[in-house]
Amino acid sequence: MLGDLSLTANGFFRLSRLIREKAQKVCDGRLILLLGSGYNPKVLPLCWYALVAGAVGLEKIDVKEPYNRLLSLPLLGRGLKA
Amino acid sequence: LQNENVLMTFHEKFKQYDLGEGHPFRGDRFINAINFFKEQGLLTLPQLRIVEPKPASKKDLLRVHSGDYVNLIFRLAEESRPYDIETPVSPTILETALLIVGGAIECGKAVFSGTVKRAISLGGGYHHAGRDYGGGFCLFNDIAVLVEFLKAERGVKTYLHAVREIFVPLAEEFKPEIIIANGGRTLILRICLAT
Repeated sequence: MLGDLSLTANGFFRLSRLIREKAQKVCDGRLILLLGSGYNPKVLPLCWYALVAGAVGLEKIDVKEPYNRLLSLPLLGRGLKA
Repeated sequence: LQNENVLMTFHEKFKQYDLGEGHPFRGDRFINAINFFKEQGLLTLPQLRIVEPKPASKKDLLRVHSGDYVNLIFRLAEESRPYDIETPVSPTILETALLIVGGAIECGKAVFSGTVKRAISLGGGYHHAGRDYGGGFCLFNDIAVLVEFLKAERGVKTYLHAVREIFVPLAEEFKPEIIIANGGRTLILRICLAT
C-alpha cells in the first residue's frame, strides 16, 4: 500500500500500464522508469514487480495482495469503529 | 515489427546500499525483488535484458550537483561519516550510489540508441537530493542526472515527467492525467511536460 491509499499491487500494475500507454501516444513509446522507494519488505517486491511487469508490457499479473483491501480502506475502517 | 525490447539495470553490488540495522533502507531490498521477479517468471521473458551498470562519472554528477557538494560526499565516504542522521555515507555506499546513477544513464543511452523501447533502472529514484544537498537516504539525484545527460548528450529538449503526488490540491497549471481515488483518499499522478 502506498501512503495509506490502499493502493494494491494490482493498482501499481495499472499505473505502470497507463504510463506505458501514455508514452506510446506521445513519444513513440520511449519510457525510462527509475524504480525505487518502498520500505515494507513484505510489499516492496510485489509492487516493484507490478511496476516492471507493466513497463515490460505484460497484459496481466497474478499476485496475492499481502493485505486485505476492504479492512485497509480508511473510511470503511472508521465506519466500522463508529 | 516494432522493437518492444526492454532493458533493466541491476548490479549485485546494489546490496551495499545498506543504511544499517534499524534503518528502513536495507541492502536486501534489491535481491528480494529480483528473487520475486524470478519466481514470477519475469526474468525469462525474451524481451527483457538485464545489464550491469557502470558507475556514473564525476562529469555526469556535475551537470546537476555543485563541485563542493560532490567533493563533500566523496570526503564523507572516505571517512565513513554520515551526511545527516538518516543518510549514512561510506566507500561502499558511494560506490553503489554511483552504480545506480550509472544505471539511469545506461537506461537513457539504450532507449535513445533505439536498441530498446523502454528501460528500467531498478532501485533508482533518489529524488531527495538537490544541487548542493543530499538527505532522505539520497546522495545524488539520478533522475536529474539522467535528464541533464540526455539534454547534453542526446539533444533532448522536452520530456514528460510523471510525478507522484498525494493529498495535494489540484493546481490549475498541473492538470492531472491519472487519478485513482480509493477509500476517500486520492492519488494523483501528474504527467507534466518539462523543458
